[in-house]
Amino acid sequence: MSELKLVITGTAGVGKTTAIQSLSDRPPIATESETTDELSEIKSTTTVAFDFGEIYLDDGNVVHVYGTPGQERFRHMWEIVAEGAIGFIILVDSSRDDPVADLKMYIDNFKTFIDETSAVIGVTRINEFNGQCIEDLYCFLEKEALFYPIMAVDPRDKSDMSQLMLSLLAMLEYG
Amino acid sequence: MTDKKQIVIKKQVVDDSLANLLETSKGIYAALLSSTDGHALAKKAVDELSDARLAAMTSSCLALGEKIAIEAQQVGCNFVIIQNTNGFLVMRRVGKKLVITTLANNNVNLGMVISATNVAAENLEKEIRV
Ligand SMILES: Nc1nc2c(ncn2[C@@H]2O[C@H](COP(=O)(O)OP(=O)(O)O)[C@@H](O)[C@H]2O)c(=O)[nH]1
Ligand SMILES: [Mg+2]
Repeated sequence: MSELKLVITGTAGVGKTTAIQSLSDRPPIATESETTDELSEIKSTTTVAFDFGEIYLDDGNVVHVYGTPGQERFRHMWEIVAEGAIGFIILVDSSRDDPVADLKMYIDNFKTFIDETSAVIGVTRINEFNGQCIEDLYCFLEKEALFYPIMAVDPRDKSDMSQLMLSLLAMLEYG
Repeated sequence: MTDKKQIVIKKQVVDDSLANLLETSKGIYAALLSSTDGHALAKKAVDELSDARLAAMTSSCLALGEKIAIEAQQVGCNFVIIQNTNGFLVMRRVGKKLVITTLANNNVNLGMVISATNVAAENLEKEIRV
């Protein structure tokens, strides 16, 4: 039996903490503090250290999944959390102004880690008006010669998140 | 400042509390008031202090301290202390949304720093209107 470490990252409010709550087979650890800035219009608490969840796979392996804080001021946690990860799940919020720029920022920031491992992209808050977002993200990745799967997901939905995670694990195994 | 989420506290009270903290001992060389979600709000320091980074790190550290306490079946994490070869940092929560961090060198003992930080925190707690 082995322990696999995955990391979920993305902008504040995209759904990282929610995703880990959906995925984890045991009560997850969250480090939420009350928001005191403009983010309080969207949510009342924010992750300041990391989220942690455990998932037991059918093959007997255990996945330890860590969520990062979203905001750049918590960059110090990004490096700590990324250490030793074998794969990255980047969540992109399709309702934000420039989802491509968001994705680019997280790919750039975790580049040294992702280059040695792999990544999948989950797009949240997709609705009938912003489906184009996924196309834009594909175009961007293609231009950058990065071949990461992209899926629309709802972080509140366990099966969405499981599929995204399993596609990452499959890439790591066969990629 | 109509947003009720806003933390309201008199600037003069904050400045006085931080100044008193530094006056307690020559060994205490800086004090920082920040929000528990990682924003620097006020500081008093003998030299330069990069308060933005310290504020964000403090909030991570405090949240972790609280989670570790719960994991160990303890409650009410009051202080997180980082003891180093050439000094220490004492962090103490102030009310629900603030934290005060005191930076000291080895010329003062830890007990004194904890006590002085406590006094400053209690003063501030009396004054906070959220
Ligand atoms: N309706 C809807 N809500 C979403 C979606 N993705 C995330 N959310 C909500 O957005 C919030 C995200 O908060 P959180 O998980 O704390 O975000 P974090 O900052 O990435 O950890 C939660 O209240 C989610 O329920 C989505 O695709 N649709
Ligand atoms: Mg979060």
